[in-house]
Amino acid sequence: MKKLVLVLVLVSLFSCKKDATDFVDPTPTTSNVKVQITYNVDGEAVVFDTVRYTTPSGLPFSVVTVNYFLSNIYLIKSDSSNVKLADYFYGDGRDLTSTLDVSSIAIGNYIGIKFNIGVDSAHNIVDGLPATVDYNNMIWPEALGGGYHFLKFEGYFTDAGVNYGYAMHLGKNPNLVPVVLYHSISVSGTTSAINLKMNLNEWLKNPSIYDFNTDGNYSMMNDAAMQKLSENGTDVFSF
Amino acid sequence: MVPMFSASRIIKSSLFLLLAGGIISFNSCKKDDESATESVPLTPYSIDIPHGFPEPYLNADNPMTVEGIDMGHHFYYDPILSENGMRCTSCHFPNRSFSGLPYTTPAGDDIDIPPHVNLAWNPDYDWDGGIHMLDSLPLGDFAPQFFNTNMMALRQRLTASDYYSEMFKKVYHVTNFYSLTDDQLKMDIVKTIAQYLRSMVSANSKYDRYKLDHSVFTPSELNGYLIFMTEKGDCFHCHGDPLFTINQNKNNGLECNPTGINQGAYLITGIETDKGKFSVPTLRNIEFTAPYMHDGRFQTLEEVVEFYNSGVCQSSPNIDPIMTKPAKIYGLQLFDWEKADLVAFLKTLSDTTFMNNPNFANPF
Repeated sequence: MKKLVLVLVLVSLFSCKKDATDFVDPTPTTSNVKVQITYNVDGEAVVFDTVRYTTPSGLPFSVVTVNYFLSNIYLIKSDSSNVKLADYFYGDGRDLTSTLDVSSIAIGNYIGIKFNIGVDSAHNIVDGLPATVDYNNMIWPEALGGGYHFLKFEGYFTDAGVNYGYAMHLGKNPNLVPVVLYHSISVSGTTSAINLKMNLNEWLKNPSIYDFNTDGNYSMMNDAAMQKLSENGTDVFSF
Repeated sequence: MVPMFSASRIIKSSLFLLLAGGIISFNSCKKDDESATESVPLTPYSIDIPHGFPEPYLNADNPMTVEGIDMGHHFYYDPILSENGMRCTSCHFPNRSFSGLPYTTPAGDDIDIPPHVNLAWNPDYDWDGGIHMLDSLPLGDFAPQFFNTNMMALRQRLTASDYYSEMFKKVYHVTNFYSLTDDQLKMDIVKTIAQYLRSMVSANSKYDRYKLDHSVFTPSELNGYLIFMTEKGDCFHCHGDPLFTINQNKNNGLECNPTGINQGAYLITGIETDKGKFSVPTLRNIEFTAPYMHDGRFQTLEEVVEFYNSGVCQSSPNIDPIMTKPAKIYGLQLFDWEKADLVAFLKTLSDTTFMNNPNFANPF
């Protein structure tokens, strides 16, 4: 009887060991990436509608709308190869809960991130993106060439005590804004956060001052204005 | 009673599964009801989403079913809910795209009655955007100034109706209307009306055909389309394709100093920057939904176009930045024939097959 008990105990013991060995978690090779974007004017967090900031040309302004697309979003590896995060992302400055969440990105150290502000030419066509409420509200009418607004940046500004509206709308393929940000990014653990900032005033400076009075407080149908915004847009994002 | 919607319209398998799950969950909640009977599967209904339309706003707590829509359809046309003979169509006329003439509030304000078209895509309701759930929108109709409903009398009428007795048993597993509280009975009723409203989809206008075949427009309609969809008229920023509304609150400059109901969303939120803003209405079937604006101040589309051409108050508080472009400060400067073209284009958004759809006709 004692022998039988011993055998049972041993069988049980080995069974447990075998199970434990089988269910050891392998070292994770991927992580979930969460890209969070916040909005500021020269370092001051944007409060929509009410707070007045100052443009680079010295005009007090408020912010009503910041809607935009990012496309072809990649992490950059040290060997200059890329890992795709997403084909496109819609951003709304009023909605800080809207994040770009990507699963199964290879763990490792990356040297930066790159994307376009706007919709790449392959998708910047009529019905180029899935029909969602947000995407549809960015449609660039077919009568104007079709596709999508890359950016809607709207609000009010004051000049000599008089209130005016402004709307910096960007679209059309030549105005796609390439952005490359070199910054050490560690993808590790369960979720890796990448925090980006958009400085709205950078749309209005670097390399050129954009003055609502001289360049136009509305960029629609104004190729020169849109080109200036596009050139300024390359450094609106930072870490 | 034969359901108004055939099984052939049940499509979109993924949504089907979602709805089926929701229905099981929904029905299981009713098991506590003393009058609950054995569960009978309902027929899930899925909206056939027109090309280019986004996913509709649905309510997981009120999954659409053929039976639910059918009951809502009957309630929509039936004076059974009221003590005064009124029914939904007393104010939402089918030949006006289910819109109506302005309602005068006890305070003497006129409020235009908006159409029931593509409501499944609205994130909020009423001109001030104050109601966020279609499922509760019709609750206000039981009030004294509308249906003036006596709930006990309503229970008697429903009990006497073979159709509603049978449908409540099917949809809610309720055999005794007296087992429900007033609020429960109202919610059960308005949920079916909400299902019916969500089923009312319009996307078969001449404009929809133009998108498939650019030759269908007359020269006048085409020119109106170009005015509408370009910076010349710049209507599209708020009334964009395909819903012809961006479903946001905007101030279009109707009033220089909004007071009373003209303050719009401000009356709901109390936020100063909402003063003068109203929910942008769809322009689909706009030809049939006169008068126009939240208070019905414009009787014709010509008057509306003339307002945008020359009547916008540029100094209105919180006027949308899109309304203050330099080209608009002195009005759109449209010629008379351009204004006529714009009206001609607006009429291409009419969908008579929607208004004449037997699924939306009087079932009695």
